[in-house]
Amino acid sequence: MKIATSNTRDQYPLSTRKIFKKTLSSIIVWGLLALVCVVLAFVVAPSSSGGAIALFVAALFFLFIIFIVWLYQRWYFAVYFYDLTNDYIVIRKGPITPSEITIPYERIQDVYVDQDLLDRMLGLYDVHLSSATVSSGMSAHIDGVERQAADGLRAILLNTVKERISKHRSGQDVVRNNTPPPAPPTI
Amino acid sequence: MINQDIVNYINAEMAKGTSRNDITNALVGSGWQSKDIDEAFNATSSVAAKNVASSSLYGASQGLHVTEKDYPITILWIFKAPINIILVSVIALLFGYYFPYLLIALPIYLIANPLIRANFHYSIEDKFFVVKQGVFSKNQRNLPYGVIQNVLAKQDLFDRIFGLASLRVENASLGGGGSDSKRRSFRLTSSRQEAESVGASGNKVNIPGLRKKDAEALKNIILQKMKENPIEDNQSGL
Repeated sequence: MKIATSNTRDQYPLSTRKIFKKTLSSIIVWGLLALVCVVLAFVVAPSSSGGAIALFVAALFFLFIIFIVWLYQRWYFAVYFYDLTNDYIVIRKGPITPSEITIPYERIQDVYVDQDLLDRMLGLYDVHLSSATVSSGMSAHIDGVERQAADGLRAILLNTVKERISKHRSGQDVVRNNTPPPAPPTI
Repeated sequence: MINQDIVNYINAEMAKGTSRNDITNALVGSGWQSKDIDEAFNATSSVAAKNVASSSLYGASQGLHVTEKDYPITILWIFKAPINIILVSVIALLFGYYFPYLLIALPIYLIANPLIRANFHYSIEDKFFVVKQGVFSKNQRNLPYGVIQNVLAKQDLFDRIFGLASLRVENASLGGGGSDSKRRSFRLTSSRQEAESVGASGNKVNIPGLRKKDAEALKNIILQKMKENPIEDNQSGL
């Protein structure tokens, strides 16, 4: 499927391992759930033939769910869009219910990079931004990039923010020092 | 005779927003004659007007006055909550559950939503984003562009099907919306189903039920205004 591209995504791309990581975390969650159900089923009705069929059905159901999750994660990966324009960063995610956040560079309060356990196993990083609102901290993040892209994004964001803030400050000083030109001598 | 120096000085001062009186006083203080000053002002005002008209990327951000009549909340939004309720009730009935309380809520939504929509007004003023709302108790919120922190555009499932979107403009007031975080309990999937309020509440202004291209246009206008009105050195945007 067509991947949402932008200059930024070409330069600092999302890793395809992200799809695997998300599927893996779903496998763990659903697998635990399935295991609990199977154990309960065996405890409740320990008849051998019924048990084998139930196990087979449960396994099929589990595989089907994992397949659906994998397809959804591929779709999510393709629709994931982020771009660093001249004035702001825009991040758009979500294949079925898209949500987009636009933060101007001057409002970025911090840039935060982290890894959870599965990320560490697969070598992925999440880059979080936030402005002064709580919801930006929850939704403005680029997750599933590799080391080089994470460092690059972090560096370019911090540089741009620094430039913007210092340009403002120096721009103010220059303008304030504008004094009126001296009048020509009157004849 | 018009001296180019004075014209440049006047242009620079007017771009900063200094009033004509202040400029005149400063020039008189430097020894200029008042008739020269007036000539120079006449020369600059025609040039400045042309610059203003041609420099705006979206005409609405400079000349036109954008209100909710240009980008209205669609009528379809009124029926969004009732349709959701009906759908949920039908599906629940298929499974054998009956929720009478939901159906009681239905006429309440059908009466409340049109009233809310009729009483909600916003306008893009020169320096502020003004939101007036309220059915019984009216309130008005003025948001300077310099303090807008982020702009969010979201679509839930109903919006996606019918081509709507909702726009949310956030600033840093009331702790940046921190008081709402109590509701964030642990959920398996990230929940975007918080109650969609209309208008200003807490640290945000939420405009739901816009058409998708209206939402994009309004978002671009607001971003343009934010770019033109950067925050000054003091922390308040006023």
